[in-house]
Amino acid sequence: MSAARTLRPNLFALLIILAVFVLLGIDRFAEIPTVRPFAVMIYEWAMLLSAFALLLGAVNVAWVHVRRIVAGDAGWLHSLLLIIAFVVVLATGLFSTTGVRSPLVEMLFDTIIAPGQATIFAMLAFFMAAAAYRYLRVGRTGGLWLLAGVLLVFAVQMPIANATLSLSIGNFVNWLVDVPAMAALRGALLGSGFALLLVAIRFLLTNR
Amino acid sequence: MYWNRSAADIAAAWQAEIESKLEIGATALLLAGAPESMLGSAATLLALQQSTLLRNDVATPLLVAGGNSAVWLALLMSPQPTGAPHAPMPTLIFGGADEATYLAMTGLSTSLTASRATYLGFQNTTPLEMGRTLTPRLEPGIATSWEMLPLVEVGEHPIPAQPFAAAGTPAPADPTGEWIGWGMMLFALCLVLSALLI
Repeated sequence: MSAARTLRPNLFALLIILAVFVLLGIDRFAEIPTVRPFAVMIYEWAMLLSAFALLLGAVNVAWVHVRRIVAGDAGWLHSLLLIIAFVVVLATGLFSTTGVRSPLVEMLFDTIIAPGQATIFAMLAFFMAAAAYRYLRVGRTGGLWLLAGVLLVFAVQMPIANATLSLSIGNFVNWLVDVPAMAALRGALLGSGFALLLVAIRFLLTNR
Repeated sequence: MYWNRSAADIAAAWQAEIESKLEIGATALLLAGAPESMLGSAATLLALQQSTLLRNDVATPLLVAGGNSAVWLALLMSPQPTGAPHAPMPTLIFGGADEATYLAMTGLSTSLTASRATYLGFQNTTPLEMGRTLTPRLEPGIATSWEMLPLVEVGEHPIPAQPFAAAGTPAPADPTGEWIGWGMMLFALCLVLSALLI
């Protein structure tokens, strides 16, 4: 059944993307002054679109959870709490003369959103410890290299070891981090960027 | 970010989730992550296309997608297949711009998290929304950041191989998979060599 299905590429969207791609490419590489204002305008549109997407996202979330409450689905109480919080924050920001700088909005951000984000980031230490436990082993494939690299970087970073080690070792480790490791990292980032670009092109051509 | 984050892998993971939830009569929850850049969503967009082409079920899963860009809206504009009856499109829910909001929204978006946590290999004591941070490679649909290290052994295949075969439809061959990987390896090697020699 699925073999008979086809996806039709949106030619209008493809034309727009092609025009924007060419325009920004000319602006980046040819540096023609007359093209610059159009390129800046497109960048501004992109920022505007991101802001609009955020607003639309808030409406989307509210709509989904209002429907859940009305239908009485499982977990509707959580949805109700979400809607109440949504309305409180929105009303506070809208009706306060200081807008998002109003004390209540700032208090909500400082006591709820910021601790949540900090908690997620603080888990990084546990991830690192768990990853070190699993991967920094000589018996594993490549584990010796990882272990050697980590020990070298640690040795240079620790004040006691730094005082006892010679300057040449510190310079060597810094060179390792700045040159080969950074090159590999940038290579991985560029490589994944190119691969994702290819995926995006396949998406636009509807996987054909 | 991870080796299994290709469009086919994401679609396969989604299909496995849809089929497992269909069996227990629950709503499937598909996770698209909250990538920081627009380019990070490309694989998810392509995966939705592939999933739309291959699905034969009658489920309407929830698709949670966030991020600080407008790319999540593109998931609403996936082209509809023509020529044969097709499965309903997922209901898209915005997952928030940041990681913490996304995790909270993931937890809110389904009321049957325990069954999914069991599917992911955890006991019911592990909340669904934390599963992705503990084992990000089990959720190929999520573009994780560098600091979320894969806590699954290298070479392990947590996702069932070829889940589309169960539905009677072969998974699409990806002829670009091999040469992209080798090309990027060569590219990274050239960068390392150039840093050493130049």
